[in-house]
Amino acid sequence: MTWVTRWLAALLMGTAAGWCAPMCRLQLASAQANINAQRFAAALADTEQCLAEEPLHSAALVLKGNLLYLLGRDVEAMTLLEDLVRREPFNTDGRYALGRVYYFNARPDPACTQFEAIVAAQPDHYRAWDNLGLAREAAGRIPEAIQAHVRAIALVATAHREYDWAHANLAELLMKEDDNRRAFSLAVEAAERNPQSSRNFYLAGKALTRLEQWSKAERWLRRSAELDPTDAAPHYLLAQLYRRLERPTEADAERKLFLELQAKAPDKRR
Amino acid sequence: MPCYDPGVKRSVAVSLVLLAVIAVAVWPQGMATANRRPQSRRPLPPGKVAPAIDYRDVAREAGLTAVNISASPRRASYITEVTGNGVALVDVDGDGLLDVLLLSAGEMAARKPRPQTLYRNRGGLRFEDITATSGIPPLEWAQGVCAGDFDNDGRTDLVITQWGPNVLLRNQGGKFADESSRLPAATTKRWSTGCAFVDYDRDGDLDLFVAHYANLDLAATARPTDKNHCTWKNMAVVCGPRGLPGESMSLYRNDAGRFVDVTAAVGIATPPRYYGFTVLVGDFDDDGWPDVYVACDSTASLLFRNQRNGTFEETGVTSGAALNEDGREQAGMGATAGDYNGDGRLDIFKTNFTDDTPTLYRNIGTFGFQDVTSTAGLAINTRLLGWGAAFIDIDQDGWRDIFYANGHVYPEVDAAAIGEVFRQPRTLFWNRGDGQFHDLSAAAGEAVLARHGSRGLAVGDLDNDGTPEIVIVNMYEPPSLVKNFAPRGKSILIEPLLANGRHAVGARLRLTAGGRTQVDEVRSGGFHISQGDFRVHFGLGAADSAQLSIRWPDGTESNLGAVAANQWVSVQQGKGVTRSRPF
Repeated sequence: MTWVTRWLAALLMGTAAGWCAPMCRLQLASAQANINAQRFAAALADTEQCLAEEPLHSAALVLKGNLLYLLGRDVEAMTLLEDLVRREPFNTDGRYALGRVYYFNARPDPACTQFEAIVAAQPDHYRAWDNLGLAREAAGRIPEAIQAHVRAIALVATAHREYDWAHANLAELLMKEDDNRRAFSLAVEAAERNPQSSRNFYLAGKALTRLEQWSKAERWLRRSAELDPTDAAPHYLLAQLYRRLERPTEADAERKLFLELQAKAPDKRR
Repeated sequence: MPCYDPGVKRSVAVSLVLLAVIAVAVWPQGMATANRRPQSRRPLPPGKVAPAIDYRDVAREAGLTAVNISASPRRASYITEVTGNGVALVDVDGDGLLDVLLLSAGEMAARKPRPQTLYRNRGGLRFEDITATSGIPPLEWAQGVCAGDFDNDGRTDLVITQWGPNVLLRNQGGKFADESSRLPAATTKRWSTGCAFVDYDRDGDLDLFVAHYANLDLAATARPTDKNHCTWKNMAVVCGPRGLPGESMSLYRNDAGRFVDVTAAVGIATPPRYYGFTVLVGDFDDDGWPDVYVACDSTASLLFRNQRNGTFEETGVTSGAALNEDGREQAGMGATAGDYNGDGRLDIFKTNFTDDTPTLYRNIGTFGFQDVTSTAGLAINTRLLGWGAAFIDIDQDGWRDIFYANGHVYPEVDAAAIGEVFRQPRTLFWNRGDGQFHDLSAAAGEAVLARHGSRGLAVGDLDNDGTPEIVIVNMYEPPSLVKNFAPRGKSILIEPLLANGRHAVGARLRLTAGGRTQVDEVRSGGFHISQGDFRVHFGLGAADSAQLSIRWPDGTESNLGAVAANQWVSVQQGKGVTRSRPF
């Protein structure tokens, strides 16, 4: 499993375990096992069994919303979570899940609304601040997006040392704004927090490439490629980097590797 | 165009969906809500003041009123209905005024040939419809257009690409004859989009490059109303291009007026996996031989480097102009070339789908390109779906700005309440002169703010006042004729002609004024499925004159010395300046 799949699985497992109620305990435990094995359809079936017994089981509903989204049933996920949030306006987990589904469905404005509601009620919800940053960025509210990410970073400075997303997300945003030095610092911090994340090393390498610090960039990109051997992106940047350094043999090798990996990568859903 | 894949149905592709989710989680992308302009975080540097721009749409007053047809404005059934059409700005009758040809598609069910509207320029930005006497036949499904004098008779001929047989129209002096039999027969069954005339072998006659989009089989393609329809953001939409068989591009050599398919022989043939749109010819390595860039939808774009021996090598990925900075394929639509940073090299700007930024590739020399979209300040807008684009010096300060037209592909988005809109405003980025652009869209006049489902776009000085206008094809509407009414700097229009009188397609102009040097080329096609002015426009700022040199398509050079500002200058190879007309 890559770190990303681990992250997704952990998110869902945590959801299932944390919310388990007596009537649904068995079904949600089973759902948890299925999520762990990436059997999302089976996990959904378990969750629905729970909901057959307790139709308003909040945690099960949130889990079902997440699973529907993972199965590509976005409209059903949205409808379910919207109903839940309407019924339980203070259900932070429901709002969080709904905000994520909105975000991934390219609806940043309602996503912002959900995350803003969460941070208003729970100002230390660092994940919501981080996601609010993403949603605001998508909505074109760049200064506010940066503020939200900065808030998330402040919240995880000491309390949640494992959380690297806020640093990485802000690094990526700042690179779009051509603030590559600050982006590099943030990517380094993200990599220190999570040294297994190929993305963190990639972002650092990319920022250094922009800054034309070629040899340093090469090291960060190489590490990124090592951490996720299936990711084509570091090899593309390495090929460009070697071309700039007039090292054609290495550039060709990286380009070939990039093309091979790119051909194997699945189509991305938009 | 979008990147969904009709072959990846949700019901059977859980693992792919998971991977896709992971991909999105790893690379959170911008998303689209076209209702609001993004905020710019980069203020202008101290002392830098953006110019006043006042773009107004004067199409109606000018008489350009033909309504674009492309099947239903409410729901499309096939992807051919949403790709739109081009426009040509060409002096058809040799009276010194650019005439306007507007292409249109048709009705899907009837497939009835439709007139392609030709407007004669009467001067003073007034046009009259001369379609009936133009000799241009009604066509079933026109797409793009490019111009060039293929028979070297001094008159500009046209090629109209189609979903179906392409059409070669020989100019007989203001009236066209359909001489499509001069084109290779194999073109009849393909879907062609962009095209450009190019003298790739420098033998003195214009050859023809044609982009192809997809191998579309209607019988095998689901419609949105079919059970196995394709979806985008949970909305039933037309299928493609992903999932449709792709295409390769074509090059036809001009053999004494007949075009011979030399695609395979000269190295243009690729595996048929591309969705080609805009053909952009430019001498990107400044070696005197024309190269060809093709903006491709949902696949890597292509860059064919001229090997100076009658063959090409495809170098898109190697050169860095095929993908974005992260090595990702984008949905390329329009493309334009210009030297935005004044280093004497032609850079490339490409428009893409929504949820993505456009792309600016800086030409870094030795046939290398670097994606500098973010660095240049162009990564701020992911909410618009771009089509026709132009490097155009809007304030005539000597720096090329960027203008592009937008519009969603799916008419259905308006009713879907997913935060997307079909009609979208235009985008104008002002070149600050320091390698960065500033978004002026919100303050550049009603024609930039106006919302349309735009497609093809071409730039040309329609009223010969030294400032180019922009003509934009709008889906299901009349076109826009966009004119800047704000004060601007001085300018010059250069019209390079070969010794035989035809426009010197491929000539490279080098102009120095006010301590700066600008370069550009005479280009066939050059805009998204559209043809612009053969004359090359340069902004001169406050300079009263400029030093001009021209490298002709055969490689010879002419140094013209000083030419005065604010005039249209015709320069003929071997003769020098043959005519000057003040604005």
